[in-house]
Amino acid sequence: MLSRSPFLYFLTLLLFKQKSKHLGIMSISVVMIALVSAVLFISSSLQKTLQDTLDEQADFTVTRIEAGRPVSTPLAWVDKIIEIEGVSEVAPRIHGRYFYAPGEESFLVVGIDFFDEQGSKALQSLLKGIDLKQFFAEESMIVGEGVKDFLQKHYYKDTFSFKTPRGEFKKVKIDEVLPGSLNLLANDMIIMPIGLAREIFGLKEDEVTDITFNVPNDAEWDNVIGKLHLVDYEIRVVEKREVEKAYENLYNYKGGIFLILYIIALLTLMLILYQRYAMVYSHERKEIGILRAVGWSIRDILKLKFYETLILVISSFVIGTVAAYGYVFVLGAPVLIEIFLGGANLENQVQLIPEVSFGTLGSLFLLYAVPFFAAVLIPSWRVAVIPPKEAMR
Amino acid sequence: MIKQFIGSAALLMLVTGMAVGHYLSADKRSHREAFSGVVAVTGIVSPSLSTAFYEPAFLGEKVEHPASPQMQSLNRMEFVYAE
Repeated sequence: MLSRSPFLYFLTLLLFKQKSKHLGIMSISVVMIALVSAVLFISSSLQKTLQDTLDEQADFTVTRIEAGRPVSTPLAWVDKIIEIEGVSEVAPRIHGRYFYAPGEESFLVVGIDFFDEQGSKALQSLLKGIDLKQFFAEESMIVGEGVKDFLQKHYYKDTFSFKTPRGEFKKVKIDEVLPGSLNLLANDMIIMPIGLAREIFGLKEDEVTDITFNVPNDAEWDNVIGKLHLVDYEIRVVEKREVEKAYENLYNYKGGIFLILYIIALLTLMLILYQRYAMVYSHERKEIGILRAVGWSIRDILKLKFYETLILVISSFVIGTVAAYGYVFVLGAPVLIEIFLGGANLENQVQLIPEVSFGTLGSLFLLYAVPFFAAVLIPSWRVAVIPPKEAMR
Repeated sequence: MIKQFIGSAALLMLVTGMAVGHYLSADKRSHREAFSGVVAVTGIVSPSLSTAFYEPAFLGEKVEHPASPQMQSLNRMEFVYAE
């Protein structure tokens, strides 16, 4: 029976008798692993979520550039774009940030066409209880949870007054609040009819923020870009594949910084461990000498050190990753999420979708375990091969 | 093996089991569908970045002041009203 093995009894007894010795190294390891795993969990969850939602995004977004700056896009471009062969689902958009000066915060205002069949269907499936008749009875908007909390703090319980560029106030009713589970995308979002958004941003009837469209055949993308540049000289085209690449690079970069910091911290820890065993007057050195003196072979000593390290490595890795999992996917990664989403505007309490990259986690384990074993086993072997008398001195 | 070790190992396994259970039982599909619904309505895929007004609001948006990225970029079609 495994549980009655004298070796295992001695090993576990040793671990608990010398727990103060192991607790220090274990707690440093747990903190390091928890931190780097949390960053990797956030990064992989965000990447996966965005990758999935990116499928819904239009293939191209077109804006007008004037003197190198994006300005309002003429609505007439819609007709010109429709004429290009291979293009489908051309849609003008109105969106932008509305700055609320007293609170120094801003909201993302998105104007949508409620008479567009697809858009209104999607909205009705998103907000099951929405009554569009009541919504259109007066000027209304749908707000994200972050916006709702912010407005309530500033005593805007049911309505909010937007100030238009003409200096007029536009009172808009808060009709619905988007569910908190959508905070990752819609925390600072205000959805309203396109005409109302146009009024708030001071856009003319024939102006929009940008135009989106799809080109179902990928092989035609470059050809379509060429034709778009013939529509107008002041055109700027943003492709979906550019956005995809930007998302990927950004989160890899942020995760990468933490990985570099982790490697530096890990190297320092390994150096401390190595020193602990290699030092001439260390307790470990004496312990190995005693075991050798009572008849343990080099193989037995290495076996003891191997299993001792294995237990420490596995338990600290498991505690670290489970703690990181709970912190990210149960608590919503408070503080750390701000590295990815920022914390300068509205407070955002997101609910991340559990997404674990087991490959990355495996690499992290190897990156942690291999140097840990090396830092313990190499000096232990070096002490074990010298005569016990000399080791105990 | 001593009792304390068995107790600690059991506790560790229980906590790991709870995390695995949470991971497997998470309703990822309905979450993704809801996110896709927001994108279908608004056409905006960027996460809700909590950035200052002068910083890029959409993920992947290019900063137009490469020398001083903290400065308010000029290429914004957004509305600020004076206090």
